[in-house]
Amino acid sequence: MTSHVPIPHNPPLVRDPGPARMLRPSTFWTIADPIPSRLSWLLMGLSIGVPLVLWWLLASTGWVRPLFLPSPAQVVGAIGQLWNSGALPKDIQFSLMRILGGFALATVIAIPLGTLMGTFASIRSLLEPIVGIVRYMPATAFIPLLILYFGLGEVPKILLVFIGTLFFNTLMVMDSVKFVPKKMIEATYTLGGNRLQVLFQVIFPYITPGIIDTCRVNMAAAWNLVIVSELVAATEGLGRRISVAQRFLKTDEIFAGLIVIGLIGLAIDILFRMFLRFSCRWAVK
Amino acid sequence: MHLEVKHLYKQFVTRRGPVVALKDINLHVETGEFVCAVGASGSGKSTMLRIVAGLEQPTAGDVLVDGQPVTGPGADRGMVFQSYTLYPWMTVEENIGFGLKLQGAPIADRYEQSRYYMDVVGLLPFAKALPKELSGGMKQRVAIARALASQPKILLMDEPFGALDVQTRESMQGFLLDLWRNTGTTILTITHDVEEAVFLSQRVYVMSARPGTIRRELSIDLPAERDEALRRSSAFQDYRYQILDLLRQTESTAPELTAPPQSA
Repeated sequence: MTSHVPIPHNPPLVRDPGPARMLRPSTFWTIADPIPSRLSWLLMGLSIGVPLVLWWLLASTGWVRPLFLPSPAQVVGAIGQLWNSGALPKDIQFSLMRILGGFALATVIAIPLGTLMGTFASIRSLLEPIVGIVRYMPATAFIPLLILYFGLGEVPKILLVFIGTLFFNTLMVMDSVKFVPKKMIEATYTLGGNRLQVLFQVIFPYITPGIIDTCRVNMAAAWNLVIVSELVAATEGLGRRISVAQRFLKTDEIFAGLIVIGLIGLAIDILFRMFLRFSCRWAVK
Repeated sequence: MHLEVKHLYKQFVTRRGPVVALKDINLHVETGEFVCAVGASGSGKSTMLRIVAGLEQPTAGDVLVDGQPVTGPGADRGMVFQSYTLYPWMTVEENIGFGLKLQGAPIADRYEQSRYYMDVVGLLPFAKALPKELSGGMKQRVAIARALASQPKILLMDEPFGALDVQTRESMQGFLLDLWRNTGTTILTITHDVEEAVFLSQRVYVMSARPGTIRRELSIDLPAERDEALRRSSAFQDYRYQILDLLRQTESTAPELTAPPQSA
């Protein structure tokens, strides 16, 4: 019970501690706490506003030639023109279709696969090595092969998005299973649950918010891939639009394409966030 | 109901070699009893309870429920954990009815049963609340109701109030005693809190550490009606000191048991 380790009477004096130093309060540099919402909105406004103003300044002062940097007004004009001509809606439609097709396919496979790999160490040992290797092969390096196999139609583009997102989705779904508390699984056993019930009625509901978030994050990769595939070979699509614009030195249309891609990406991101809030109220703080 | 643990051994293999966690554990719990196993951390009491629940396998020895050997977890041995194990996406009502759902009970039965147990633990007004909206004490009540709703033969509790503050813990102990008297449930609890063990139990097993063994079995001959005043009585304090002394002795002997072999 009682240990008799002799304790020295005075600790060694390393340096004079001087007057007590205290952490100064700060609003802007607050760590791990929210900032006031007015400040937050202001900073978010600056985040969009400052680059926009800089862009406008650079373009309107003529420091940069209009061929390289069209003004915001020109780009908005180009968006309007492309929209009215019907080219832009068609491009958006084709790009979205390829993304959603490839991504949906990847997700439909990744969710069960990732859940099984996360749940059963046996399945993980069986599949993790091969998934780990293929994951490091850049999806874009598959383009030549895909064109060779499937030609220039929709199939290789959809498959590129599929290959590029499948493994990330799978591994991220697998990772989210790690956060299921072991005691929660054990409690289910003591309530009479079997393994199948644990999988479908405990693990799966628990990781649903994680799956939705995984989709949201990996959607950005899907956009990347579809644009690359269209740069290589396509007759329509936002990536195609940008490469055509480059050929005709229509910088304003390149910018238009980039901005539309950014806005659609943002919209999809927001939709996923809303879906998470709506479907998993329990997981939202 | 008759729970019997016979010559139970548990050995873990660690990087530093085998460690004996439990050595020759013998205990029993009879119908309607409230029994506590009390011991310091490292006494293997948690491991013992997990083996009784079927969540871990013993190295040797048997756990028998009504003469039947335990080979895995099952609804006949309900368990309440120290940490909150409620399903965060289910309401209080759904949490409590989940055991019956797993066992394939019809919805009407589930509804009736979870209503009944919500009433028992005083949480009817919170039927539609999510676990994150409840306090720690309320969460443990839901966990207890969830375990009871499957109508287990015995309720196993692993430091059920360990995460609660002192006031909440004392009121939960009173609550648990009332529940035990009113429902006639058989309960086996493990705890490191000596006062909790004396206050709750009819019998106490005092465990010593490294390796975990049962040092003494004590009957707590206090009146069945127990209230806060009882905690101050001398009879209560006598039991408390008796157990504390036993725990202290086991601690002082512990180093000899775990001393590594001296190399020449």
